[in-house]
Amino acid sequence: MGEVLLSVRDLRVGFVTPDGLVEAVRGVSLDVDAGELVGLVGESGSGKSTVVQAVLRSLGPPGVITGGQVLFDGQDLVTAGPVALRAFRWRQASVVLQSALDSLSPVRRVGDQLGDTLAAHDETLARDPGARRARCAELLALVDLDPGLLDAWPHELSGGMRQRVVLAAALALTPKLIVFDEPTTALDVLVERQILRRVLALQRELGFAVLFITHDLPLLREVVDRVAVMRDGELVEVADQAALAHGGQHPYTQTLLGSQDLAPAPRRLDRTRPPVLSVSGLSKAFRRPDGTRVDAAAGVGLQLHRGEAVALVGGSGSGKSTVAKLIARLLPADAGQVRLDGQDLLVRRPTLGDRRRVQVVFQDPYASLNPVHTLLHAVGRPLLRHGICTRDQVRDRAAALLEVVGLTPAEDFLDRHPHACSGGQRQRVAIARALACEPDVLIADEPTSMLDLTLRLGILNLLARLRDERGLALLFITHDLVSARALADRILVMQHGQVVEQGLAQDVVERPSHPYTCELVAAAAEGWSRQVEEPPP
Amino acid sequence: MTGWRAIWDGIWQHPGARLGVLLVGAFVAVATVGPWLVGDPLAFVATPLQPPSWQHWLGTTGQGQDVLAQTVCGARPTLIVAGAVGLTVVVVGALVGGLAGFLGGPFDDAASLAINVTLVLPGLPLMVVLAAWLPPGPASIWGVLVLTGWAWNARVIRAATLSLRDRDFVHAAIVAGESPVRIVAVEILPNLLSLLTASFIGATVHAIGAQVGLEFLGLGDVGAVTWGTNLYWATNDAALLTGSWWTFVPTGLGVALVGFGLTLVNYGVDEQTNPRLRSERLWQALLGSSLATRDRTPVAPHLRPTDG
Repeated sequence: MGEVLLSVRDLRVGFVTPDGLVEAVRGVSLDVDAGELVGLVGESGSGKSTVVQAVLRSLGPPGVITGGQVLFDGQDLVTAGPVALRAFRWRQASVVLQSALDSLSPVRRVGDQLGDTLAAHDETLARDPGARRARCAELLALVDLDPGLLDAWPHELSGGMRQRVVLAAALALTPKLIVFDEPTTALDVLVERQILRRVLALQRELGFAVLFITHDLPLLREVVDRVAVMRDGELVEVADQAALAHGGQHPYTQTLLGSQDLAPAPRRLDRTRPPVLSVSGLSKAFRRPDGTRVDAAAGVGLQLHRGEAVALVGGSGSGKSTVAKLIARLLPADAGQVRLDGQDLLVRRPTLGDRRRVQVVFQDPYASLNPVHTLLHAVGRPLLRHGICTRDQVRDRAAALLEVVGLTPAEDFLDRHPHACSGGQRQRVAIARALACEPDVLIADEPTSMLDLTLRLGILNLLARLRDERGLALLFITHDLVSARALADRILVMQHGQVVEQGLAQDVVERPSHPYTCELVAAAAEGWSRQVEEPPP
Repeated sequence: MTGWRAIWDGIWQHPGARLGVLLVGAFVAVATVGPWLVGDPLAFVATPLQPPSWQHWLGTTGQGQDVLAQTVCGARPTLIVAGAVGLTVVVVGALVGGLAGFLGGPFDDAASLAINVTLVLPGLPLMVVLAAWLPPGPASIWGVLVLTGWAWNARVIRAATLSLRDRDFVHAAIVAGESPVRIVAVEILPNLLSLLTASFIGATVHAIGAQVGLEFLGLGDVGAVTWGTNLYWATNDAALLTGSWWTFVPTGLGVALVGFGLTLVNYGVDEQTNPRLRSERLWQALLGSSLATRDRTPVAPHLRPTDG
């Protein structure tokens, strides 16, 4: 497009650890032209965020730049002094970070925080509060927010609105480059789409260049000019739009693009027998601090047969995780019934037997295993607690369970601590722990949402295999219709604590009837560019 | 037990904490074997209030007793009571605070009430009144210090437990049917090992000071030889008026050095709780202070990655 705005040459970044220097970025070179949209894509740990922090010189200790150049408009930022850096930061290049919740101070009003940015860099505005406020209102309008929100507190805004405020702050000084560091990861798919659409419109209007960091290559696929793909601190490929359309050159790029294409096998289920789990009228309300009532679950009903997988799909805040916790008895329900083989569980305190029959695999593999205990403890304790085997047998039984979930040779894993395992391995351990109880019902609460794309398929296939081989009844909680379609026999869509649509997986995805389902399907299935290019409704 | 190992490494790799370990270790060694090496601390051995000499290295007290023997023999009961108080305070605090934080509900309400009431009671007067009322002796001192000292610990551990209660591994233990006591003891508290260690050290330092203070006021068993009673007899015998510094300086120095040593050890434990402290120290050592500016990412082209 234009001339080269940012040129990263052979950049090397390391981290100082007790064992010496560990290189996290090994010789990355990348150009961003003026007005261009460049994606930087990689899985967690690939070094993509480190590159950007080093480029903006915002990386703190123990990070250290060990070589290379970062040329911005011809000036080398690696050798630039504090004065030059202060002139560069925000005025020339600004950044939108992942968590809008952390980017805004909770104790100051939105308008004051925007005003600070202006006052720090513009002497005229610093002396004139009225003009500053007018400019802030202008900025909010730019990101489709009501200027009345200037006096709002950050906690009064939704996640998407907060991210728009952060975007407005990034636009404040009309920089030439805006860096987006996973700006939508914490948001819902629908909000994510709105924000990306707004960014693209603003880019066309104002002409800044964008460096967009994400682990989600399909998100960018059709809107970027070029994509740089990183793995293990190195650049594996820089693909332009045309190359991406053909799936990329490097096998890793192809994996990142294609690993979501899951093909479900057609299955026949015997639903004449009574369901193992039958939930009806399940309700739970929470109170917000200001006293208003939120119905996290309002009269939810569902049925689950042996050997069947049912997906509970919805955006964040739809109440799907609350339903999982209610069924697992981690939260007391306000009303309703949870019948296991016809017996209502909610009328009594959970017995050991009740606990054994309903097990849960949690969302975050990094939080679901106790960091101080070995995997043997994680998998072995439930075996002992429920008297499934004796103390002498526990090691063999735990090893057998790890083999089942694909951690081989299991002997190598038993004495490890969780920190010596990858996220995917941890999630397999969590599944093995749930299986140890020999449950009838397995609730998987977003088991793949924290995992990188390349690992998701493995976990989904494992769950499908367990369902088929062991006749487990699987309740699969997810926000992702694609994996729901791949794994589940039936899909229930939740919104505002209610089931708004349910049916066979294929029918729900191919012929959605409720408007909310239609939106989810559109977000999941259609190409991004078509959504983005459409004029906003 | 990787937890203990990590805490020990954190202490030993910190130069200050290592000095603290050596200091405290030296005093513990003296307290263990010392009493067999010196004479009877209560025996009348020479003219009272003699300054240090070759016969009596640290001089004699107003009762004509050997100050070195008293200082060495006083270390043992003082350190034992302090250690016992530290341990009890942490155990009680961990159980009450851990269960209150984990269970919530009525148990938490009751425990929090007890904690808060204990915290608002004025500690020093209560200690003095209780110690005066109970029969003098180490067991009473222990009881008084535990009673007035457990609440702060319980509150800290309750807060730390609250932050762990909603972790998924705790949920997993609930779903697996584990009992509340086991979840607190096996799943939650081991994650707070460095906090518990720091609490133990802090409580022990406090216990040494409080115990010596109570005994100095004559509220301990004045017939026994402890650091506190040493100081009590020194003032009773008008050591300050006569300028007999050697009767109280050795004991005072002992109290100060043990407290100083334990505090140094706590710095090492602190780095374990907050790894950022350690990495910053390493980072500055590697790059040199000239590059350690906060304003920008350090640039060090001479650094090469470590192999392996």
